[in-house]
Amino acid sequence: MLDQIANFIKTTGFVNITIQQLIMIAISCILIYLAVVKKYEPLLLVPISFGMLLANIPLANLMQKGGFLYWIYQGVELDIYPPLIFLGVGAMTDFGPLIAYPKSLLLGAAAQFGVFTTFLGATLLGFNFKEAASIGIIGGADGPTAIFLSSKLAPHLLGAIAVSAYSYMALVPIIQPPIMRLLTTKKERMVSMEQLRPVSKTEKIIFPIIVTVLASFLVPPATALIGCLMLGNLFRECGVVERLSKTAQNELINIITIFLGTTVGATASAENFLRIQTIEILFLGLAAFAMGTAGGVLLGKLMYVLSGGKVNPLIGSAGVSAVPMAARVSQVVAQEEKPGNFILMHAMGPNVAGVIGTAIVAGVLLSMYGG
Amino acid sequence: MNSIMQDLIGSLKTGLLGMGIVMVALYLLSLILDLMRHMFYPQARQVKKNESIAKPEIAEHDVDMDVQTIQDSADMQNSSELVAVIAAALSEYIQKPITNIKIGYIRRIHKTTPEWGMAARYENVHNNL
Repeated sequence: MLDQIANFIKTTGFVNITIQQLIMIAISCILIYLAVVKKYEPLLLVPISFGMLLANIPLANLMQKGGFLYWIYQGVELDIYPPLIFLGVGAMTDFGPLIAYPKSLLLGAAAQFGVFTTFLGATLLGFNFKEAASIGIIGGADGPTAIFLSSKLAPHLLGAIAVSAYSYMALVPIIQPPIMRLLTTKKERMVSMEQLRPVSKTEKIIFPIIVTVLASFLVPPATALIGCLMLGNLFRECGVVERLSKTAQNELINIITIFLGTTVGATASAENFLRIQTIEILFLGLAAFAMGTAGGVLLGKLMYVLSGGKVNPLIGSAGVSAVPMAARVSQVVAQEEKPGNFILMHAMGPNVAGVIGTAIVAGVLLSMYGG
Repeated sequence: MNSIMQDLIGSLKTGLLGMGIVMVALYLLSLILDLMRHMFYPQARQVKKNESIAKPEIAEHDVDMDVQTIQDSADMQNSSELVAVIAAALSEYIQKPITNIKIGYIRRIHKTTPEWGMAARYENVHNNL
């Protein structure tokens, strides 16, 4: 009887836990706290942090072949979940502001500057090109794209990259405003922009088809992301498949979010996460966000000059995806200077352009380093 | 030292190529969207043409046309958006922060409203409600 009890105790987690696993459980509890109490991207951070907790339960082996999470994780490894998330995002996104003001696409492109400066920084810190590309994409402020790229180029860094990307996306209202104020003058921040023109239904239906063809022809590895994003948007805009649109916006994206978040969190086992590289990734992620914001604002300033003062440069910072948080930040900073100034819809243009831009960047990086 | 230089050059090449491709792709897309505007939004051309022909007389006509366009737009079906737009326009018009404005209700003003009724409303607006 005593032997049986002793044997049972040996099989419990209390006896087999390591210090590293304890630290990881503590980190996951902190992330759960941030998600639940501070509301930092709770829809993703709750499953990610709980997945992290599950992955560090001693002897549970949920992520080893045959384990429960291993099979669900195949959707990440085979790049199924990120495009499906994009399907839902597309169904929820109104590209009207972008169609009404096409120049905002350039701001979405300029904000990708953060991806490449961080790529450079990561390389200089000793990461190889594949790892640097995966870290750099954090600057796109687009969680599914970051997961899509890093699961292909650097799966061992996936947990750290996902945590970094989603944490900083939640911190956009804190990270961006100082940079925006630093790079713009009061006069520039006070610019009121002309009202956007109405966009016809025909334009909204043709838009996803054109984007899919153009982007996919140019960067074929981005087809899954762009194609699903635009398919979701076509569901929304065509008006004849309302059921599909609703499913993509609600049930589908919610189910995939649970699978994606939990399994990506579960990749953050102690041996993968508790490394100096994780701290470097967190710092590089912050730099990526800052540089992306700066890139967008600086192009916004250029457009301000070229347009004769008609463009408020603050909309440039919304070029980092983080929809719609980054656009709201532009609006808040603009209103601080001039109450009654409404640039939210103008900022939504670069904001959704950033999603397209980041997907194209991911395709470019996959073309270069995915082989 | 040599490998650092190689890494640096490799990163710069990636950066230039990547930014170049994204810029070109999104610029092309913006040109296509501009083209779409000309094809599917003829009102813009019409309004411009009218403006150049007779500016003083066309003001009211423009407003009518814009109102019609807004009615046609699926976006404006969303009443909360419409309220936000009206609130923003009002705030700009009376030069008062939106936080200082209280909107009780918004209703469409029909053409049947007599001119004196309209004048009263404008006066109210000018007196900051």
